[in-house]
Amino acid sequence: MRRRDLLVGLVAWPGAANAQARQAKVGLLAANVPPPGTVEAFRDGLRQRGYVEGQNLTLDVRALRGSLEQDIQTAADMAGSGVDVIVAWATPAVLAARRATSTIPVVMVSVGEPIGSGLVKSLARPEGNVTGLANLGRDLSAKQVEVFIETVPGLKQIGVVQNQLNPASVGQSREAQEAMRGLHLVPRVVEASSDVTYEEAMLRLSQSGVEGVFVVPDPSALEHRKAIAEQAIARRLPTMFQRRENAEAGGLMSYGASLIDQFRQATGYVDRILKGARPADLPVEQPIKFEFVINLKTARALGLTVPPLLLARADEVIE
Amino acid sequence: MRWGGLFLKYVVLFVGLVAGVLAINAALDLYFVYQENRRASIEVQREKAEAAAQRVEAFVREIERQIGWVAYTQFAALPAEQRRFDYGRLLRQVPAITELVQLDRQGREQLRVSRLSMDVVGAGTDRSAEPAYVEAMAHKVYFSPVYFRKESEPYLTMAIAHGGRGGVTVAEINLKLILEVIANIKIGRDGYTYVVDRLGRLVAHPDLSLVLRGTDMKKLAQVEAALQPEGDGGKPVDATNRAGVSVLSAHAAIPALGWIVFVELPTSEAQQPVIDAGLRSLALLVLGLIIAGLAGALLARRMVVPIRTLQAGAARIGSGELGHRMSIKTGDELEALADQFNRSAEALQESYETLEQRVEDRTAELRETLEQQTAMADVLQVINSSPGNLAPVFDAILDKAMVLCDASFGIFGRFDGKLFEPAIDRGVPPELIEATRQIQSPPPNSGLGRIAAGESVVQLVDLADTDVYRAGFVGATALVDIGGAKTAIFVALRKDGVLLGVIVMYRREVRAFSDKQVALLQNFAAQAVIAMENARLLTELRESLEQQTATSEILHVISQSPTDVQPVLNVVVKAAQRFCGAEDVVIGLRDGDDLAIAAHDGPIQAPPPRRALDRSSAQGRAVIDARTIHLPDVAQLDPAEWRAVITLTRQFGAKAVLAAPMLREGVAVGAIMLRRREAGPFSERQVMLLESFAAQAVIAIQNVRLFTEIQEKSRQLEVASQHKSQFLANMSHELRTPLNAIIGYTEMMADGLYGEVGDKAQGVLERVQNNGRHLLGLINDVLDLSKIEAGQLTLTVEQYSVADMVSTVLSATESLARTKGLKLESAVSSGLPTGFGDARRLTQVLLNLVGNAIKFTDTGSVEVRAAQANDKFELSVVDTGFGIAPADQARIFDEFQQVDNTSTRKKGGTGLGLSISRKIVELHGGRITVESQEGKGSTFKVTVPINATPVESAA
Repeated sequence: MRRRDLLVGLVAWPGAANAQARQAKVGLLAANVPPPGTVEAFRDGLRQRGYVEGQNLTLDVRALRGSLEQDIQTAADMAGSGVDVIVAWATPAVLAARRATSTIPVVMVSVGEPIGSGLVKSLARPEGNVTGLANLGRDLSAKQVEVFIETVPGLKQIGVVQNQLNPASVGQSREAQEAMRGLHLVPRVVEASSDVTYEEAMLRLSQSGVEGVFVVPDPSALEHRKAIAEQAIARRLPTMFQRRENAEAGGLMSYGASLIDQFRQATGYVDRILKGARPADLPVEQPIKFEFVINLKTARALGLTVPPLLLARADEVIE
Repeated sequence: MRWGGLFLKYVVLFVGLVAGVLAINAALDLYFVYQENRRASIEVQREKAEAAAQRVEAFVREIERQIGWVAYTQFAALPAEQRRFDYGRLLRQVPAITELVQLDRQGREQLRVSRLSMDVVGAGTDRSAEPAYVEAMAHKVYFSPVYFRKESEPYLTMAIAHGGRGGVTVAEINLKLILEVIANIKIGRDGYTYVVDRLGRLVAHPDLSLVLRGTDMKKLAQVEAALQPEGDGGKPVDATNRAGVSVLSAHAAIPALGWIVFVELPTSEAQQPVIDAGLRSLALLVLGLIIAGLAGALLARRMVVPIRTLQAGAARIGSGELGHRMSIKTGDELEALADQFNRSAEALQESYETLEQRVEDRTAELRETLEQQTAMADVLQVINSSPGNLAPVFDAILDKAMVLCDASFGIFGRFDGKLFEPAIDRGVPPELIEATRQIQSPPPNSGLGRIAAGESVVQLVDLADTDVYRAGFVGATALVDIGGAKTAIFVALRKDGVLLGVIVMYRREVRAFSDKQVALLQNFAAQAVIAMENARLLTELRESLEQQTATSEILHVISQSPTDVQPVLNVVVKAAQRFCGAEDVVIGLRDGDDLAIAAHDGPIQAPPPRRALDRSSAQGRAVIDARTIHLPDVAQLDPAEWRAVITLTRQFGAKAVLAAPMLREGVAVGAIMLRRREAGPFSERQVMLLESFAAQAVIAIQNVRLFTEIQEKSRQLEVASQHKSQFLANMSHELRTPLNAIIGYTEMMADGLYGEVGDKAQGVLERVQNNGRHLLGLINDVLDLSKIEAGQLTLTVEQYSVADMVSTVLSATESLARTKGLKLESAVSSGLPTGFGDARRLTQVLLNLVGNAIKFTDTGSVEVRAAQANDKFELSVVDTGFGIAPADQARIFDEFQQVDNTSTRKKGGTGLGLSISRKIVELHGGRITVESQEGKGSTFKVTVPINATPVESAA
C-alpha cells in the first residue's frame, strides 16, 4: 500500500515525496509512570527504525492514574486522537486500550497473562487487534519464590503484595502463594498500588511478622519502587521483585526479564504495524532472558548474608 | 528547411551507427556478465548456504560443547548442590538453554534446573523410555526434533550422555536465539537465511513471527524440493519466496539435526551486477549516443552549413541575383564546388549582361521597326479610310515621315509632268515659302532637278556644300539661309516610271538620313503612289459610273417619253451640264435651214430660239461640218469667220465654247453646246462626254420619230381593219339575204311549187341548192369571224350536258361517216358534271372538228372522247386521217389557213372553221390544240372550263 501510494504520489504530486515523512502517530499508554530508561529506550528503538519524533513521529505518552473509569477515558482519548498504534505497558493499560478500541492496533509491553486476561487467543495467533510482548509471569512466580527463599534463609512467613486491580498481578500472586505453600511457607497477602498503600502494606506486613516481602509484579511497584524499598529497609524486610529497577532502587533482589528490553522490542511491533502488518498476524513474543539482580547494599543494610553460590548465580550484584 | 533533412540524416546515421555498435557491445557484455554473474552468484549462494549451515550447526554444537562441560562421568557423583550450581552456571553461560535435567544411568531424573520454574533435586522420575535418554545412551548425543512450547516457541531437546556410568544431561534449548545467528549471516543486501526442520517447519527466520506462528515452509517449492530424500546437494535454484519475490535460493543441510538451512537472495539483487553492467552499458550507450549526436551534428554542420550556403547562394543566383558570390572556406570539395558556382555565376552574369545589351539593341530595333510599321499601318489606314481623298494620306505620310526621319521640316510636292507643286508642307518657315513661291523650274543639278531627271532618291548631306547653293539658286539659298536647312533628302513618287511627286525632308543640322529612314521614305513614297493611283482609279470609276448613270437616266427618259423628244433633251442638257462639268448647255436642232434651240440650262442666256444655220456659229458649224467644234478662247477667234460666235458669246458673256454635232447616219440633226464664262480648253473627257450625249440625244430624237411613225401606222391599220370587219358584216348580211332568197326559191322550185321540174332541171336545182348552202355556210363563217374580230360575238352562257352535245354531233355526222365508210365512235366518261357555257357554240366547235376529221379521213375511224380533268372538260376528236405536218400545225388555227396540199384542196372548205373554233374556245377561257403525225392521224383536243366565264374579246 505505502509503496503504491508512494508511486502514485510520485506520479501525481511531487510534494508527495513527503509521504515517507507522513506523521506516524504512536500513543504510549503506560499503566503507571514508566521507570527511567523505558520511554527513552522506546524512542531510541523507534529512531533506529527510522521514526524521529518531531519529523515523522508524534509520540503521545500518557500514564493512567486513579480509577478505572479515568483510565478508560484516557485510553479512549488516546484512541480518539487518531493514533496509528497504541503501545500499552502492563495489563491494566492494555485492558483500557482494548476497551477503548478494537480497531487501532495495540502493542502490549510486559503483560503477564495475555491469554488468561483474554487479550489474545493464543501466543502464535493473537487474532485481534492486540499483540506484543508477554511476560512469563505466572511461570516465573515459583522461580522467583525459590530464588527469594534461597537468598533469604529461614523464611517462614512471607508477605505477598499484590494489585487486585491488575488481573495479571492477582494471577501471579496466586501462583506465588501456591509455590510458597508448597515449600511450607505462610504467605500473607496485602493489596497495594500506590505509594501510600505500599507504605501501609509494608507497615502491616512488618507488624504481621513476615520475614520477607514478595512484591507481585505490577507497574505500580515500579512507579513506587523508591518508597517500597525505603519502607522495606526501614522495616528490615527483604524484598523480592520482578524488575531490576526495584533492586536498583533499594529492593533486595529481582528476577525477571528486562523492561527496557521489552520497551525496545515493542518498537519492532510498532514498526511492522505502521508498515501495514495486522496485529493478528504478529505472534506474541515471550522473553527468554531473565536477569537475577541482588542488591548487596540492601543485603548488608538488612544484615543479610547472601550465599556465595547464589551470588555466583546472580547476573548482577549491586554493591 | 532542406538542411534539416541532410543534417538529420547525418546525425541519425552517426547515432545509429554508434548506437548499433554500442548496443551490440552492450548486449554481448550483458550476456557474458549475466552468465558470469549467475555462475558466481550460484557459487556464492551455495557457499553462503554452506557457511550458514555451518554457523547454525556451530551454534548448536557450541551448546553441545557447553553442555559437554557438565556431561562427564563423574558428574553424577557430585553433590547435588554442586551439580545444581554447575547447571545454573551453564544456564547463565548459555542463554538458549531454558532447562537442564540430569538423568542417572537408569534413566531416572536426578536434577532439574530451570530458568522458569523451581529447581527439583532427586525427583527420581523414570524417563528411561524417552528417546532423549535412549538415543543419548546409545549415540552419546541426541537431538530431538524441533517442538514448540505453548505452540509458539521453537525448542530442541538435546541429550548428552555422560559416558560410562554417568547418565545423561537433557537440555531444553530455545531456538529463538538462532535468530541472532542467522540475522548476522549477511546475504547480500536483502538476502536472508532461514532454517527448517525435517518436517519443513520453520525453525529460524529473520522474521521471528513466522517462526512463532509455526509456519510450514513446505509450501515453497525450494523447501519441498530440498526435503526430498534424494536431495539435490543444495544447488541454488531460482525460486519464489513467501512474499512472492523471485529469489535465488540455496540450501545446505545439517544432517545431525535434520535441518536445512536456506539462503535466499532476491534475484534482482543477485543480478545486480548484471543490472549494474546493464546500466553501465546503457550509460555508455547514452554517452555514445550523445557523443555520436554531437559528432554527427558537428560533422553534419560542417557538411550542411556550406551546402546550405551553396543552396542559398544558388537560390539567390537562380533568382537573378547574379552578383552574389558564395564564400565557403572549408578547403574541400565543397569549397571547390562553391568556387565553381561563383565562376558559373560570373560567366552567367557576363553572358547575361551581353544578352541584355543584345536584347536592348534588339528591342530598340524592334521598337523602331514597330514604329515604322505602325506608321505604315496608320498610313494604310488613312488610305483605306479616305479612298480617293489624297490630302489626309499626304498629311499622314508627311507627319509620320517627319517624326520617323527626325526631320526639321518637310514638303510633299506633286509633279504634273512639268512643274513641282508643293501639296503639303510641315514646319516650313513662312518666309521660306514666300521666298520660293516664284521658283518655276529647278536647275538640273538641284535635288528636284535630279529627281525630275529620273533619280529616285537624292540626299544632300550638306546643302551649303552644293553647286546650286554656290551658284546662288534661289531655292537653295533660301532653304539654307532662310529655312536653316542643312541636310535634305528627296524621294521620288513614281508610277510606271512617271514622276508623280516628291517627298522632301529637311534637317537643320548636317546629319545624313540613315538607310532605314531612306527605305522608310521610299516605302512612304510607294504608298503615296498607291494612294494616288487608287484615287485616280476611283475617280475614273466614279466618272464612268456617273456617265453610265447619266446614260441610263437618259434612256429611261427616252423610254418614258416615246413620243416627246423635249423631256429627253432636257435630261440630256442636265446630264451634260453635270457630267461635263459645264456651266451652261444648249441643244439646237436643225429645222430646215434654221437652227432651233430645243433645250437650254445654265446661267448664260440662251441663244435666240431660231436663227439661220451657218458656219459662223459653233453649233451651226458643228451641224454643217458634222464635227465637234472646240473654241477654248472666243476672244482669240477670227471675227470674220466666227461672227455669230463672237456676237453671241460677247452678248452673253461666254468665253469658251464646245459644240458637238448630233449625227444620224452621218447627217447632223442638231448640235449640243457647252459654254463657259472663262476662257480655257475643255478636257478630252468633256469632249468625249459631250459627243456621247450628242449621240444619245440623236437616239432619243430618232426613237421619238420612229415611235410616232409606228403609232400613226397602227392607227391607220386599225381603222382599215374596222372598216374591213364592218364591210364583211355588212357584206355577209347583204349576201345572206339574197342567198337565202335564192336557196328558198330554188327549194320551192325543186319541191315543185312552181310547177313540174324536169330531171335535168331537178339536178341543176339541187346543185344550185347545194352551192347556195355552201355559200351560205361560207358567209356565215365569214360573218362569225367578222363578228368575232369586230368584238361583236358574245357567248350565251347556259347549262349543257357534254354527253348530249356529243350525241347531237354524232347524229349530225353519222350519215356523212357512213357514206365514207368510216367508223364513228364516242367515249364519254360517265358522271360528267353539267357544264356552263355557250352550248350552241361549243357544239359548233365539236361539229367542225368531227366534220374536219371525217372530211380528212378516208379510211379508219373517227372517235369523240369526253372526260373531266380537274375543273375542265377535255373533248378530243381522234381520227386516222392524213395527219398534219408539224410546220402546219401552228398555222391551221389562223384565219383562211388550210393545209395546202392536193388532198385538202380536194376537200374544199373556207379555212375559217378552226379559226372560229379557236376563237370560241378561247372565249370560254379554254384552248384547242392538235397532235398529229402525218399519215397516221390527228387528235384535236378542246379543253374548256366546266364553269366557263366569258373572256372579253381580244379583238
